[in-house]
Amino acid sequence: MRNLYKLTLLFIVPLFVLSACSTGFKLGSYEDPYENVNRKSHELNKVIDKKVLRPASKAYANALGQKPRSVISNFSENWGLPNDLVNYTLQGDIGNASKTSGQFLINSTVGIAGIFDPSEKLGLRARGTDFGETLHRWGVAEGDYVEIIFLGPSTERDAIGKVADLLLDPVGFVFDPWQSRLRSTANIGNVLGNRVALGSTIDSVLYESADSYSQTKLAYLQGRRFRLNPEISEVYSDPYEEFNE
Amino acid sequence: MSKYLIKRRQFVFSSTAVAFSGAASFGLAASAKDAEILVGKLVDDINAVISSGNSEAVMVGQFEEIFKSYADVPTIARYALGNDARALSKSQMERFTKIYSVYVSHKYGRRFREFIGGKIVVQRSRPIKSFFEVETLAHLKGWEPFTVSFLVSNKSGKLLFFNMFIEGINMLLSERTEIGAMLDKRRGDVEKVMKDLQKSI
Repeated sequence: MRNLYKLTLLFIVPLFVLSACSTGFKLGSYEDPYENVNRKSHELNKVIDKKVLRPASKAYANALGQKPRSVISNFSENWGLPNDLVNYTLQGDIGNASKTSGQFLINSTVGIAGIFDPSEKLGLRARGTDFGETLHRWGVAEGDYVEIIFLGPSTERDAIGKVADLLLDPVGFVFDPWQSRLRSTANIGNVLGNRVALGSTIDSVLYESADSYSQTKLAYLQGRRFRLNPEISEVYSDPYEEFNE
Repeated sequence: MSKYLIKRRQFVFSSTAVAFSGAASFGLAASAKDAEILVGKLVDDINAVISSGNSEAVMVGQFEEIFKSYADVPTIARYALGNDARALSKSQMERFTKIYSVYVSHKYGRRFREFIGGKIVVQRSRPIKSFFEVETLAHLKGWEPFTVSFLVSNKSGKLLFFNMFIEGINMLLSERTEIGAMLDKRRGDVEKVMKDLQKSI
């Protein structure tokens, strides 16, 4: 019954997305119609980071060394791979779909349920993907910039992608409650581990810049556009030309 | 009248173009390959600092020297100021450039600390508009390799890089946003901005 509900949503979500944000490409644009609301979410996210995420990540790093942390992250990332596979399949990207499958099969078996990462040594590594990217490949425009409480910077398209990923995730269909709890715990560990690894970069954007909201937005939009479309993501400006005007 | 104006502009533009191509043929010529060689030297220097095992303070100082010898600092400083640069006197601009170059090289130098144990490798280069893009790949422990691109130009009279993109994130644009926000908070007072930049170094 629950699965039926999920499947129904699966078909409704794309339709909703396609009708909601079909405003065409806005490459190089940083327009921000939701700025007022976004800034409020940003301030809240900063508080969450300062009071919860950052201290928790420090405690995590103190409690566990590099090795156990990477075991937890490997496990978390391995069980995210089936979702990548679904997305690559939906994108029609056979190359990355087979790489993802290979990585998942090897790490789940030789790598003992994904706690080790032997596929890395084999050079078998697909970059990650998500439903936001699938929507992009299907021609859905990114929509406007949004900063979501707890989840951070996103766009209308990518936010809907995040919801779809939760619903699409095949592992969610097969794990029993105990396995799901184990996985969720590992996912939290992975988030904390990433906060540790990106520590000073995140700190410099959030706490050392004059306008952390704008810096977050710029970094997210540019990074995301580059990831989805490395060839045309940046309209290079020429400072020498600008000064001559 | 307006028609005439456009014609005049076109004339000015084309004569500048001729002047530039003239300059290019008189020794200022550069190719994508030259830009690639420059960035090759730059990343060699960065890699040497990363693997030196020096203390952070020493490394940041070394990055400052690298930045000054490979980057078009006045152009980067001026771009960071945006339109406000036009209101500055020549001496103010010179002082700003000096303070800014230390500030920005320390800021990014501290970032490179995370590169310890990693290395940067030049991938390819290509001409874009009047400059060159040199793409490199940064290999860091525990991360998927990511792209760092350098934009290189000889418009300053010397082949130097004037912008850097880390996974598509434009350094010049981040810097203009940052300095712009600092100016806004200080009601456009560039002297106050300089004072605070100096303090943050």
